[in-house]
Amino acid sequence: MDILKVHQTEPRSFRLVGELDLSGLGCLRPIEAVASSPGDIHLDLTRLRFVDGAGLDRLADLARQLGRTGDAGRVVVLRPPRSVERLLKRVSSSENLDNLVVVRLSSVVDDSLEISEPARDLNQILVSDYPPEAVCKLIAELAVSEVPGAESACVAIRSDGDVAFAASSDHAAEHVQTASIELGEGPAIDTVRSGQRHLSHSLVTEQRWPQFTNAAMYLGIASVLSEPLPVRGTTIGALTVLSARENAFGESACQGIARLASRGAVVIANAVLYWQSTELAGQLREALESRAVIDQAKGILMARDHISADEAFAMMLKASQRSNQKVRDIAQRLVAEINPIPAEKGLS
Amino acid sequence: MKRSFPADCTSLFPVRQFVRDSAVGVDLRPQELDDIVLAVSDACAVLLRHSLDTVIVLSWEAGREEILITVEDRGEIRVWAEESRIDEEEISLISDLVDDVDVTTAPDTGRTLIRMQKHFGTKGRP
Repeated sequence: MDILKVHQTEPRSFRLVGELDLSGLGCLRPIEAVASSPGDIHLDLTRLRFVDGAGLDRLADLARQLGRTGDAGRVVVLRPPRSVERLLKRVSSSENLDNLVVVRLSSVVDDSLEISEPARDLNQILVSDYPPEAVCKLIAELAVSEVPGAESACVAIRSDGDVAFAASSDHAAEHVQTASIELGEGPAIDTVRSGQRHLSHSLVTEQRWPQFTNAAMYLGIASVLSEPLPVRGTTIGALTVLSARENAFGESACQGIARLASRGAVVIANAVLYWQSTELAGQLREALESRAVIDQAKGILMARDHISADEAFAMMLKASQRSNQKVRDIAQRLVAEINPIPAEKGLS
Repeated sequence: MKRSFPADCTSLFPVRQFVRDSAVGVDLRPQELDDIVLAVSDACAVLLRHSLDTVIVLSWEAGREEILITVEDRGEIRVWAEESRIDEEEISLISDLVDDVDVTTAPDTGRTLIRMQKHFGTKGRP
């Protein structure tokens, strides 16, 4: 089982999902192939949970490889988790890799993709540019600027019948939301389940969610407003704003959050659909391509060694296990051997 | 807690799961846990690159304010050469992540042990 998946979303853009360690370096080959030609490479690491020393070295190698093309190409790393970001910055500065650039979400929105201030209007956002988590974070950040009284905000979404944390404007909101989900109570959870707004003017006197109230007050929150995210009559999640002040949310806040939630819900739903469909399409394309090259390689082995199709596949499987490479990669090497371009090494 | 893993790079993910599971209930900050998970995973990767043994053994011991983790092979090495010793460069990342790291190799068998210590709580925090 691969713990890392690499999706090619554009000719020079890739999305890494899972954990990158020594065992997954082979999955980076499509990126390395692109790095041999000049131009920037974009790596979306939103869903990369872990990277080890070998993975870091390989990412640094990509930057070095691009540097050698003489075109000042960059490896632009988008939205890495904090743990990965810290390591990337470490390797970038210790090895003076100026072309290994880490771009966090807020700077992606404001600078890197050159989205101008008016385009922060959700109607202007192309869901193909943002995975659902990034869209949710953008909505949380917009809530802080658009909802009067909001100091921080978070988005929870319905997932397999449960309520899951999606994104937040800052750490305080993330802690409040995850505490609520772990405790199984709170305004966001009730909002998702009921499809109704939940407002608490003062957590000091709040009775509905005793455990949540304790946790939120411990984190310095005094008032909460949670609004359903509606799409075609169903509630896909909740947008919640928080404040350290009691009575922070009045009528204008309720109107503001309702407007943002109704616009945001549609963008989130579209982003989820888009990314699910591109992932599925990518997997299907990969499966078809793999099958074609494996069939070719099987044919080569059958002709060369006078063996059956099953024996040819078993031979490739064995080589795959021994060398920790995918059967597809083994097959590709075999096919490359009969091409006029000299191959590095044969199947042994 | 002690557990053996096949000496194969596909064991690195289960190793990290073991560390994450073992850390449940230990009062670690998220970054401290990230550091420990990476340090242990990298220590295993270093060992895998040097050892021809079939098994690596991981042990985890959590005290009130420190964690001691060791990663070792059994020294059942078919080929052993002086140049296959683990050098400082290879453990520089691990050194940055934990408070103390120590590598010992038995000169006769090549049995290698990587010992890591991480402080947390009042002992490890400013």
